[in-house]
Amino acid sequence: MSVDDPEARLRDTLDSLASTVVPSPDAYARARTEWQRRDRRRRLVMLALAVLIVAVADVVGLWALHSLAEPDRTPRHERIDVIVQP
Amino acid sequence: MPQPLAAGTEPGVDLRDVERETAMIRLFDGHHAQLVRLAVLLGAEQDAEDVVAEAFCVLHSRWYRLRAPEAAPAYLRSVVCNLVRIRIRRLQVSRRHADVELFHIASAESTALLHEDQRQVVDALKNLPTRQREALVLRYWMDLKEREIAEAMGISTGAVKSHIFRGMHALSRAMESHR
Repeated sequence: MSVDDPEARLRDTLDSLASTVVPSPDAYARARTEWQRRDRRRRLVMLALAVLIVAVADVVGLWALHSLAEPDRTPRHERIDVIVQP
Repeated sequence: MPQPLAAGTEPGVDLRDVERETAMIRLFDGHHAQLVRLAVLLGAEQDAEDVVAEAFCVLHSRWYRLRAPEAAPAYLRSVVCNLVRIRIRRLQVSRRHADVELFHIASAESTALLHEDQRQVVDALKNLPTRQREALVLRYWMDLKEREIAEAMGISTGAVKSHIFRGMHALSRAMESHR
């Protein structure tokens, strides 16, 4: 390596600095636990959202059916004209 | 080394998910150590492992949106660069408010193992703007092409050339001044 060459010095320094880094042996287990937890959470949120949408749709449907099936009010105090034909 | 999942052992498991898990294991096995080193060189210090773990979590959640499984290593690099940049920015803001000396690229523990001239380079590197440091590390440590660096940093190749040129220029001047 040329001492005057800044590129070579930079490469050498970065390699030396990188070689001091040792990843922890349980990194995979921790990372996998985390991404599985997030995946479960995401699925749970999606499921809750789907259940909520279906429930709201059901409620709206039942309300619509109920309002359509409601019988006409029976007349009580209203005047009724009865025409009796001879 | 992580053990691969045995496909079909669990009933009701989606085959696509099994493929994803297998690919994640391969990626972790092949790229994790390099990404942790990259994060350290970019300035993540003691958070390097967390940054890389977060990058893998992001990849896992967006796996089906990747254009191809081969794009995963480049995507991981890009996420690591972004997360380290966010971390540095957050630290700079909090330290500016706390009136503490700004960010150091490598901890005293790791630089203690370096020679004097290497320590000078690290000192010069830590004084560079984040983008220039990123471009230099990706170019001279990872040996990436300008197109790949641009993809990792989310900028144009012209901007990459500019960052490398300015970074090397500043680094050379700093090295000269230390003589």
